[in-house]
Amino acid sequence: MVEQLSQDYAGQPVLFLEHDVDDPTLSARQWRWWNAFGGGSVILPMVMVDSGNHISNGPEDFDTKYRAMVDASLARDPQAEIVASGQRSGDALHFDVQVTNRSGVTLGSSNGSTVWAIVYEEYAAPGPGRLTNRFVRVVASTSVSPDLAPDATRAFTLGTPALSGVNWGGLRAIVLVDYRPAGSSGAYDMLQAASVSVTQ
Amino acid sequence: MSECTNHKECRAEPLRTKPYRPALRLWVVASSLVFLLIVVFGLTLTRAARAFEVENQAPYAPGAPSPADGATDVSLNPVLTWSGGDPDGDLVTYTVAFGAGTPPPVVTTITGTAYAPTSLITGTHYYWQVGASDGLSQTVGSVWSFTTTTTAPTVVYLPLVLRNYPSAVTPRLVIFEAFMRDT
Repeated sequence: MVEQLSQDYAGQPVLFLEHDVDDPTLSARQWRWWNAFGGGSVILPMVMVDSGNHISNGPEDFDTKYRAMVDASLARDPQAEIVASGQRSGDALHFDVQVTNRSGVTLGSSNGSTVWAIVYEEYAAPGPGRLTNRFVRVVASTSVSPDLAPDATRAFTLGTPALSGVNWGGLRAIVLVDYRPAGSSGAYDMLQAASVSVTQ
Repeated sequence: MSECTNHKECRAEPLRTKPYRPALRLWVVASSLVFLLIVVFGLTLTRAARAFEVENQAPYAPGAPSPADGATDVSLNPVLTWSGGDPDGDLVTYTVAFGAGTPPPVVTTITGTAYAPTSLITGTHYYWQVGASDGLSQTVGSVWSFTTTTTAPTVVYLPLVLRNYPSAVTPRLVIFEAFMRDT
């Protein structure tokens, strides 16, 4: 299903990623969404676009719902500029990220603004036990603090823990910046994301 | 020879002779015929030419100018139009003269009845004249004139909203994250 969507959206700026919901190393992004969601029952598969601005969980008309979520996001404007690079350091990865805030609002700790790096492996075909060709291996994040005013630019650095059992040749990464439009509560929303080339 | 009864009566009569020239007579007759044919042919040509001259009529004189003759406050991008045509339906070409001086210089020859001058200047008196030709006859219209507006054109700068400024370089990248359990 997800791979079919990936093929259908080939050539468009959409990246389909698969998280292992049981992997504790990925819990940061998963649990942050959970807390923003307010808890309660969530039925797999749980899917989110724009850091949780659009979600789907449980049995649905997946094709229709997922396409609607992606199309809605594609129709939006980016609200940040991101320039990033990644470098392997031992078995860890180090990212230098420059963010320019084009959202028109001040980004900071008061609205949960965060810069993320998501590292994933890309396969030619789904691996054993996998459902898609892009499986997330590790995530790293850092808060936007102090505040980043509209049109201001700041550099961030992110580092991952040491990775083991990964196919280094197939590692890819993205960085993104998101925040909570409503302030200290409500769903998060992504401002922009960017692919990162990783130098090994 | 008559028989005479006396001397007086018996005078000798001179012998009258006429030279017999059949070739000369034929030449005279032929020449007369040729002359007659030439005269008839010439008269026919002359009559045909006169008939032709009568049948071709000159194009109508260009008229109904727009902007009207003497118009003022004309925009800097006018389209000059006029009425024309030919009573015989012949194709008419129009020679347009246009300029700030008089007589205006010829600027173009066209088959339509409209001309758009360019690079006009505010508050300037312009003259223009149109000549019509059907290839045989020509009719020249009057010299018309108009004066351009004295108001400089207002340039309206619409606000350019760069709402999607970053996307001009980098489009929004959509991240679709599926949280799944290994099978």
